Amino acid sequence: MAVKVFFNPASPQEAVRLMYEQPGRGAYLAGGTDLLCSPEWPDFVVNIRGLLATLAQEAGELVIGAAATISRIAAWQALSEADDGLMQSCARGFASEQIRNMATVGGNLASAVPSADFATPLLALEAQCVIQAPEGQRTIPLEGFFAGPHQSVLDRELLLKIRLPLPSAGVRTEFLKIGRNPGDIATINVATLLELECDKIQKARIALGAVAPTPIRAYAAEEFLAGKPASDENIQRAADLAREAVQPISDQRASADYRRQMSMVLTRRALQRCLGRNQ
Amino acid sequence: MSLRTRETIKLKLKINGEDNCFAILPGDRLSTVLRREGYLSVKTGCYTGDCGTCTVLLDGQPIVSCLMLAAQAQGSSLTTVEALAQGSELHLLQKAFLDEGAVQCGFCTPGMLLSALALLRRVPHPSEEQVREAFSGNLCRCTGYERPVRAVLKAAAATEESSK
Ligand SMILES: Cc1cc2nc3c(=O)[nH]c(=O)nc-3n(C[C@H](O)[C@H](O)[C@H](O)COP(=O)(O)OP(=O)(O)OC[C@H]3O[C@@H](n4cnc5c(N)ncnc54)[C@H](O)[C@@H]3O)c2cc1C
Ligand code: FES
Ligand code: FES
Repeated sequence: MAVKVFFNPASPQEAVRLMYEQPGRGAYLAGGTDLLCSPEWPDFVVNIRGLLATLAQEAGELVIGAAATISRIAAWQALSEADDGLMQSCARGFASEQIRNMATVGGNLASAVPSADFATPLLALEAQCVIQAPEGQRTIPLEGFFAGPHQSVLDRELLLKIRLPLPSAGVRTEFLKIGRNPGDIATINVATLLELECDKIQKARIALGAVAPTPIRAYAAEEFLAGKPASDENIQRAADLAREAVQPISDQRASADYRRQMSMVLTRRALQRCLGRNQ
Repeated sequence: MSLRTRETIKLKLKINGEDNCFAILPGDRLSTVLRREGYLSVKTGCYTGDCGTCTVLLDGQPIVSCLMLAAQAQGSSLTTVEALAQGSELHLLQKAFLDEGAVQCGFCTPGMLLSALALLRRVPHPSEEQVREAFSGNLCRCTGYERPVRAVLKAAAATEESSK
């Protein structure tokens, strides 16, 4: 159970090569807040702390290095201006200051727990994942990144960065989370995004976490809202559709019934808040 | 083919302003190395990032040293509570903790002091809510947080006085 070798790669390519070529069970190590809590430590670690931490504004998109910490992402003004404070609001309820200074977005996604807090806002923002494989890079939508509880599509590959297409100006977003106390692992979390024209919804994105084997988008609810007036009835209907999209389990945090019901309540509340109606 | 067994690593880092070089193992936690090297203000309670008694400042930011491998701290600069007092002169925060009776068993105190120090550097005059938020990663089973919070507010107010 002890880590026998510690590698400090100079580049992402080298990191991936080490992961493929070294014998034994290896793991990338970023903030360590998930990996070092697990009872089974790998034989070797490939340290990526500080290697992929760049935040950059590029043509029409924002790019977040996979090893950027929650704190740095929360403090990135270009991002909070573009996403109406969505990621910042998520970061505020994420663990404690100490953990936010260590935990990375890449580790949050790669751990692939259904409750991962950064997954829902990033799904709502239609994030793209850039992945480094031995033979080169590929880009996939975040929707296709999760394979099941604790399982992503990565096979020893490295998540390099997250690309966020810039939402249209005036976009409204909201993140809501239920936990035992602020900073706790989510019993359920919801992120919503609305693009409005006059009082009509042009585009809606609704993502939910901890209510299915992976974080999910509520596609039927999103499609229902597109082009509709932002009436209370339509919001309620979308929230009902979100409830139908979830497949929760019962665990020590909540029952499946509670999660199903809260999927509806939080979706409605988040959408109403996007519309400036306090609920 | 098997992995090379546990080679030692030379870890160079600054602690409380002094250059240090330690021989460590690849899987050593930062908290383990700090305690081994005599920084006994760094306590460990849970090893899961929950209690915060192993808090240190890494390049000025509070982190939990139990969830970092020491090898990851290569080249960085750490602050522990040992850095606070200047000789026998206690730091303003330490004095305020004593004055307010914010220390009972003391197990959480080093972590709390460092979280508070990082807060006051960032926000010299925090609100009570900001102090509570800064302590959200530091569990205390004795005080109920009231007195530590008051102590930080008092230290912040004292800074105001002395800078007038
Ligand atoms: C006290 C505490 C509170 C927490 N609270 C929350 C919370 O409120 N919300 C929440 O969502 N999570 C929470 N977590 C979980 C954890 O902090 C996050 O999931 C964190 O984002 C993980 O990132 P990391 O950099 O620490 O990952 P690490 O532990 O370094 O890595 C996690 C896993 O991902 C892999 N990995 C890391 N980076 C990459 C990459 N770039 N490419 C491929 N694989 C990679 C690692 O090999 C490992 O398997 C909490 C954890 C603790 C200890
Ligand atoms: S021992 Fe590090 S947080 Fe508890
Ligand atoms: S004083 Fe005892 S845990 Fe805080």
